[in-house]
Amino acid sequence: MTSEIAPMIVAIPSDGALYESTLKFLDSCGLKVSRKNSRRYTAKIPFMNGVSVLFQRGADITGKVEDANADLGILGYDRFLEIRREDGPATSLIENLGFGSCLLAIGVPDSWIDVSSVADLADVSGEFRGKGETIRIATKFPRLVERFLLKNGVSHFSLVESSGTLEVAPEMGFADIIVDITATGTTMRENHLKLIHGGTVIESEACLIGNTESLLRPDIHSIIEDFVSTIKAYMGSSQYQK
Amino acid sequence: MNTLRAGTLLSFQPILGMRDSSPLELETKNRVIDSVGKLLAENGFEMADYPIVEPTELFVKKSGGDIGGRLYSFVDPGGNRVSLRPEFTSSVIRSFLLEGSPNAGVRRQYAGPVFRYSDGKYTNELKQFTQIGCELIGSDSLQSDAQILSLALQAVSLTDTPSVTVRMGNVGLIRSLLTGHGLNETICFFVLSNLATLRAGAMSSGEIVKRATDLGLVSDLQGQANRNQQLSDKEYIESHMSENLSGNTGRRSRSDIINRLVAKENTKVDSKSLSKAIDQLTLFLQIAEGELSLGSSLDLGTDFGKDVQEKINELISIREGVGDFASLEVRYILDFSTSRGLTYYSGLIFDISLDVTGDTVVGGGGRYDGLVRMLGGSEDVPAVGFAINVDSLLSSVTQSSSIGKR
Repeated sequence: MTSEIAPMIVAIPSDGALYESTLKFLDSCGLKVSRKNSRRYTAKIPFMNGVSVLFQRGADITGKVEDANADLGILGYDRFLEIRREDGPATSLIENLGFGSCLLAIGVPDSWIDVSSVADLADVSGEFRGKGETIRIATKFPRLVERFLLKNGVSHFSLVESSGTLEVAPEMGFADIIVDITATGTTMRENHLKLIHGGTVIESEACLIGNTESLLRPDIHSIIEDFVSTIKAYMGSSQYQK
Repeated sequence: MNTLRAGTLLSFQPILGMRDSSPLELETKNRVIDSVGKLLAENGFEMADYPIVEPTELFVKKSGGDIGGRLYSFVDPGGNRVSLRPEFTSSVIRSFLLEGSPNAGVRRQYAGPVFRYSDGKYTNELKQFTQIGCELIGSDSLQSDAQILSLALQAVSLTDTPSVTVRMGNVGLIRSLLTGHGLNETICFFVLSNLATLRAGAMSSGEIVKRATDLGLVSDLQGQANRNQQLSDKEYIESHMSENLSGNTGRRSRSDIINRLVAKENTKVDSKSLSKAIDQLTLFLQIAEGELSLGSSLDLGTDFGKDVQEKINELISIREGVGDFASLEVRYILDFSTSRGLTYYSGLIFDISLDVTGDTVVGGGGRYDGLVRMLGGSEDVPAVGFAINVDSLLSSVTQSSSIGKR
């Protein structure tokens, strides 16, 4: 770390839909992020001393907080649940920050007119099995998806882990169905996929996480407290109030 | 040396929800296992052992329910989807089928670790715990049900537990009540899985009907009429839905989809029947549930049918058959929302808890006459069994020093 890095580090998304919305949210909270240029991975919050902002891929933020390379992090709650270690040092401080809402949901080909619920999917996985095949499910969230499927009686499946565009997987033939993030289902529909009843793995918003050891560090404890209470104050006095 | 050891070991804690057993704890646990094992052996149950790792499918499709989401499931190095066993019954029945055992009189007992993942919802639960239990395969008599419940209670009493509450119900009774309204197996399963919610008043019958409709299990009366006249006809589906079927169907053929849709439409029920069934079920729960003391009876009148009354009488008969225990005070409560997190039960079902509210469940069991066929058997074989969570029982018993000395 260089001397430019302030003692308390907040990791926020450097990509995806949450990049802009996180900056906007922090701005609304009075915590405007000042980034010298878009190539820099660090920035400051001029109105709060002692805070550095670290831009990271959404998929890496949980790990950065767990490894104490960042003290706080803002990311999608779905990503946090997918990656976090259950007994690890990262904990959710605010689960719903009021922006970035989306679903992690199952999308099946809209030509599967017999499939309207997750119970149907359990049945169809049996149909594949009867033919000596396995239903293939493309997702970026294998951990959450596997548990969801088992809970809902889908036992015979294989997960195709993919970091690319999932919506085309059934059309391209490398998966039969997908489980992906969607806000409204529009992109799925455009790719001839449909949502099914009971097929939402998780409803998610952006969340604030923290490293449990950092929360106790005397040198940054008060800074973290200020940061979190500023966000809470904004949420309590705005449309973000739950 | 000490520094090195401390430094090394401090880095590794047991996984959350799993724990070491000290020599004393292990000795106590083994005493319970030995004494329960002896009790079961005296009643003809032979000890058998089963793999800790089984195909995931064995537990998901067949055990179903809450357990499916709590499996320690993974793909093994050979590419097979496998799970640490969350219970023994499915393995016992699988083994029974492979052995080609005769239909009558198979008695097996088992003891060993089982694994159930739990998250924040179950913070006090161990993820690995020891179960001891037994299965009686081939008998459909009420005496067998009473014997299993009696053995379960005797097993608990071996730990000097002073009192327990047995919450007992009958899954077959609820099914009977629902099928009387024309509900099929799928919708019965749906209602059973929502029974606790319904009973707690967390959802109204209207909300449950709506949920069933959303899941595609219910059609309205008009839809039903259309279906009877037309939708069951493959040609109708092909001609009216050809536009939907024109897209990419992937590895499923058009006929796969149409055949399944036809089968699905033919099993739907109308919302009015479902609503009536749920209303009657709610009324039944209000009348039937409650404490069941020795010598009591429960007359349901003519509202619920002969079959339902018979099954209530059977539960009372089972309770009478168990009798009383000198060293264990047992309170019986009729509770039809008990599911034990498993879907294979078909008749008697019971939980044994150390408190009246049912929060500290230490064991349970029931009848599962359909599991043999579900796991590939050519016919249903009656079976009933119970399992005790030894760790949960021991952690609740304060005077453990005398355990198993009788």
